[in-house]
Amino acid sequence: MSTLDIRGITKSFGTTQTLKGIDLTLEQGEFLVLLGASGCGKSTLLGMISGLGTPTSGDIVLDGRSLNGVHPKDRDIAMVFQSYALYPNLSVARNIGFGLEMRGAPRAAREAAVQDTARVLKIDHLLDRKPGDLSGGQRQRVAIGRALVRKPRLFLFDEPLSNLDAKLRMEMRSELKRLHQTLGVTVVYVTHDQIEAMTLASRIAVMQGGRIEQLGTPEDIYDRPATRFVAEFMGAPPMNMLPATPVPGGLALDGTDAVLPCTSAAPLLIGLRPEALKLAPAAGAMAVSGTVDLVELTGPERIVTVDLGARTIAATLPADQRVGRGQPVTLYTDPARASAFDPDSGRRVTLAPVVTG
Amino acid sequence: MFTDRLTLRAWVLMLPLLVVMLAVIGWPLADTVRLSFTDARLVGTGGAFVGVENYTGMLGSRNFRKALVATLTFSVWSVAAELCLGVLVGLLLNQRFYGRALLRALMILPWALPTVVNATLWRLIYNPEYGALNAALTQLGLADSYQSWLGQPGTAMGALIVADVWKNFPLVALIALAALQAVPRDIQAAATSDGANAWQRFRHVTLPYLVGPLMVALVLRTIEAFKVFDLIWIMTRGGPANSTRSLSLLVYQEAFAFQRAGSGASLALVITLIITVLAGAYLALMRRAAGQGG
Repeated sequence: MSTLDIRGITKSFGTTQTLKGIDLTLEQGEFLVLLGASGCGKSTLLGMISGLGTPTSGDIVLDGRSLNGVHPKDRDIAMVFQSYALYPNLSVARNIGFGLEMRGAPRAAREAAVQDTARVLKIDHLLDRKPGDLSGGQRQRVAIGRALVRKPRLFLFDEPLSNLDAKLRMEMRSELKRLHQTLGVTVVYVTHDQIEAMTLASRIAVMQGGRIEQLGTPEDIYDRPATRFVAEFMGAPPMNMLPATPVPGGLALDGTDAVLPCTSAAPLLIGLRPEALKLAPAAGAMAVSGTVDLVELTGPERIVTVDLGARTIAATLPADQRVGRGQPVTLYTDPARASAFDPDSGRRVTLAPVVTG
Repeated sequence: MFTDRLTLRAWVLMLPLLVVMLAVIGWPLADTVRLSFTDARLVGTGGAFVGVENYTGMLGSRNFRKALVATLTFSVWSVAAELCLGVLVGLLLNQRFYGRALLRALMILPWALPTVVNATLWRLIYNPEYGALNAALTQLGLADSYQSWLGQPGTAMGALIVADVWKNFPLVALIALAALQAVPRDIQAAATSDGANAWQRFRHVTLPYLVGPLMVALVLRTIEAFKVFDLIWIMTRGGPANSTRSLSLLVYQEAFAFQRAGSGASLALVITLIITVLAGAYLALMRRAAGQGG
């Protein structure tokens, strides 16, 4: 049973603080994704867990043992690098078995373990090749094999799919998901790709400026973003943000006729996911009207930008709903799916519904 | 048609150079080959054909064997020491520390010096009466009396090798440093996390990146060391008792001091042959390196 406990980790380089106090707890078998734009501190945090970097303060505890001052090789943690970091002069078999070889595992046991791992990753026919003779996807599998074969307590992945082309990235993503489901290993995975985060994670930690903005399940992160940053970071196109002012009977979305039936004393920002906006009216739905400004077909969907006068709003409609530029449309949305944020702090605000009757 | 015309133009443009090269390299070489089969003297005319007598006489002589051994001793020890020291210094200068840039620049200095300057400098250091080495050793209590480092057959060769290593290890260090900077940091990190200790990381991760460039340095340095003349000429003139007389010095003495152009020519050709083999090894290595790179 592997649990990881990260307590108050900070990291400073000179006067700049790249990690400003990170607290995380990870259960056995979890797949935690650290998600954020470059420079948010996610790779730095991963480096601290692996032992390749040292925190300025705070503690990392794996299965009850503090890792402070523990050498990377004694942590029982394996890391997969974005660049694969394979040893170019060694065969695939020796690359995978390198960790066991360095730890002095008996030859027979080592070869059996390499064979088993290679079979799981479907690279057992490549064992005699050198990394230079392999494709990107095959190299990635070797890199994963090198981590798997050691049966570590914890797996770390640093943007492992970023160097692959789009199609291969999807394949390897599914492969990783399958591996995690079959082997039940504990994973910390760093990426800037929200689709990777959504599909792979059991929990996501969205990071920004050296802090965790929100830690939660993919559903939490997507449907109930804790801050405006998370709301706008997740989703393509991002969540629409509309300022709203209190009026009798609810919150009026500025520049529209729509009124959100809830009570608030102060102005708020109302967040609406593009896919929560529909052309068909429904009971209790809130409506905004405008003219179509831009239509982008992605294949399964049609992303429509609607000009509301003062601002624009994006809606993701099914591809079969044809709308043309300049056409007047009315978009309907379920008020329950709206998020609200404090315009100053950016924090999520829970909306109290107007009690009618 | 186009390529043919281009080729023609290339040949026309190259022609002056080829003519000059033939005149200053080709003709002397051919004449040396001719001379090596005669008993010609440097001054005076003619020289009768003597067949391979110069070769058999020279290759069988004690002087040649002694010079060959001296040259090999000098080359093997100085190149080996330059490679070891060069790699170690390269590894050190690849670490991050304060003042690294300055040290990197300073390291080049001995290599940038002309050999004549370096040789004169070391002759002063080794001077039996006022040399810095003698002073340092006696003042530190490591030696009782001043030594004539270059005047004793037991120490002269060692002293020459030290002077050569001092001048030439920076080249190896520079090549090693360049190669070290090409080792990806992720691979080092992966090996650390795989449990490799410092020696294992050097052996399995770093060294494979160094081997190719070091082979090139090895062959280049060996060719240079094998031809050594100026350093020895200034420091010992081949002495004491001819213990540091290299093949190049032997050729010089034979052809110019003793004015035996014929046997001097044959000896020069033997050295040329040996160096050609070394150069061939160098070219083969370069080709292999280029093949791997592509």
